Amino acid sequence: MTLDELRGLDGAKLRYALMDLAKEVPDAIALGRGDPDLDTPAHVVEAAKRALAEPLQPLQPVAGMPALREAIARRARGDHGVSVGPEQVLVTTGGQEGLFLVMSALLDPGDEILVPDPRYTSYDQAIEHAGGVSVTVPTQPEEAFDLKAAAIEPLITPKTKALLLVTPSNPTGGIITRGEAEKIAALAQKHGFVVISDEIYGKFVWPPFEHVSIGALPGMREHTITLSGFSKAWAMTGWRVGYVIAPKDAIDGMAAIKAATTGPVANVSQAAALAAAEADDACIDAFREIYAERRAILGDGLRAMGLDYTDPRGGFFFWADSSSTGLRALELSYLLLKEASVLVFPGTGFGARWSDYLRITTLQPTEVLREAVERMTPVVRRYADEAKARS
Amino acid sequence: MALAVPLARRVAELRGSVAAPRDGGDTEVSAAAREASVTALERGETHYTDRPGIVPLRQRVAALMSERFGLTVDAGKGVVITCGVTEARFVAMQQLVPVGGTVVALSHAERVAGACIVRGAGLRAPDAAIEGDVTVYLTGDTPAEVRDPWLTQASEHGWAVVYEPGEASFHPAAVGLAEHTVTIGALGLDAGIEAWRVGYLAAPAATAGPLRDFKQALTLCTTNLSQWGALALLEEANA
Repeated sequence: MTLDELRGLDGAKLRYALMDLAKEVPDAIALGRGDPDLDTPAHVVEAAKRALAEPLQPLQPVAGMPALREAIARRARGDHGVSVGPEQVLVTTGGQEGLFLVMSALLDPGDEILVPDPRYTSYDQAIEHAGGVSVTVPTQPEEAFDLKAAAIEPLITPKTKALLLVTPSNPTGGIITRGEAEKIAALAQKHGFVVISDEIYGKFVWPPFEHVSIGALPGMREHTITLSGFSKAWAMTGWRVGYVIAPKDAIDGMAAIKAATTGPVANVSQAAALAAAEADDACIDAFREIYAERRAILGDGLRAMGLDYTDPRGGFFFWADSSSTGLRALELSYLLLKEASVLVFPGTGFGARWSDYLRITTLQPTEVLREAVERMTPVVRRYADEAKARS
Repeated sequence: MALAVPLARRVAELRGSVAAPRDGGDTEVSAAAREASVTALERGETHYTDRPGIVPLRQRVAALMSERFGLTVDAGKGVVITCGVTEARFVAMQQLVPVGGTVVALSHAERVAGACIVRGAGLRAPDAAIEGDVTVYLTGDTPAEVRDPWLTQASEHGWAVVYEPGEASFHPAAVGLAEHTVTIGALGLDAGIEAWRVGYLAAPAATAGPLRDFKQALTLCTTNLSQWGALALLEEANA
């Protein structure tokens, strides 16, 4: 695919086209997709092997294996600060199906949903499929891309049914602070809308910041649908297990939709997720240390090559400004793949306005990340020097 | 405690309209599938796969289409591995049927009822009066006297056909509908791995592209180790 052909794409299509292009580049280093390179913890894999050894493996209920729903409900207190029962939990085929089910269960044609800009664009596809109307809430680099109540309030209308809150944000690493969460909660209660809180990266918030679950705030249980899963925290992307926490009537409604979309989640995956949910967080703590080291390596590298960014407060990504190179992020992404054999995603994969930004992941071993930085640096500097010479 | 806003209207329609998945689990899990999945785990197959599925499984499904029906399907662009046949049905209905469109189910209408509600499509029996374009859903056990007149109409009008063959040897390609048919199915039902949730969609490449995109938006990919187990079953059957 040529650069001109890529210019005609955006969102997920652009991201996947670049991943396909990267397959043609020998020894390409992938800093694109949000797939943790780390292995699923051994105790989880062993639980899966035990489940596989069962001679008879009947389908689980559509809403999820009862023991897993109970384990997620127990974890909800520690992970999200909310007290729920298993009937308020739906097990989904990854977080991705969770967001599809939430939008399908919530939105009638014409309903408005406030969504942060930039964002992972699969939300848009789910909203569009349900007939909903996305209303974008801008986030700003000078505010570390944190979602602000002041930016939300002017956009609320009588048609506003929900706000999508992604904390930490993919792609920016912005978060919701406790103070802003309280302001947003007050808006939700005053105007009668629901907050869909996607907390899939919630285990990876970097000090001094803390993860805040808006559903744990007073009066927010009936105003909150929480989305999360096992993919990121336990390095379990290929197992496809996510979950939704919501009041029972909403969970029952989503389960009715799930019966038509995919049916039950694979039973071995649910057995593996149960092992993950029931153990302590030692493996996640170890992952966090690894990601923190990588974050430092990539951050130092980007700074040294002259790409500006705001320190991500959570998650796996850097959201870096490409304008010092004089190139649009799409062109720079293309050139980095061709000239440095490094795949990064341009910002237009996450919203049309972000043509000067790159999303770069930390999801490679430290030595590979260092190699990626070494490869990228001369390319970025050369274009930056050329841009300076022209100006 | 209920959610603070009303749920979408489609939820009320769906409640009571969707058949619960059958229990399954009365067949012992194939040793080949189990061993292949354990081996896959041990070599670290715990990450996302390509969104349309692992390449060797797509190749085996394409070969299956050729062996069973004489169909030429592009394994790279025409096959999508799904989370069971449920997802295959759902994806096909969401992508082939326009909002407000009509689906004529020649048999087993309950299998696509939920997908039609989510799509906002009308579901009709084959003896109902139909006007305008339709999408035809049929299964391998649809009686020929019901099937053939509808396939003739589909051929005349260029309607899309969603076909779930099961064990049947018939395929709509036999009556000139290869380019209009999306073939769907489950993998491993007779080998005890229904709960592993592996199915497929096979279609002409131009049709399969949007199906692949929608599947990616819905679930990203199908469970990695389940795909390796299903592949082992197909390879064993082919040996």
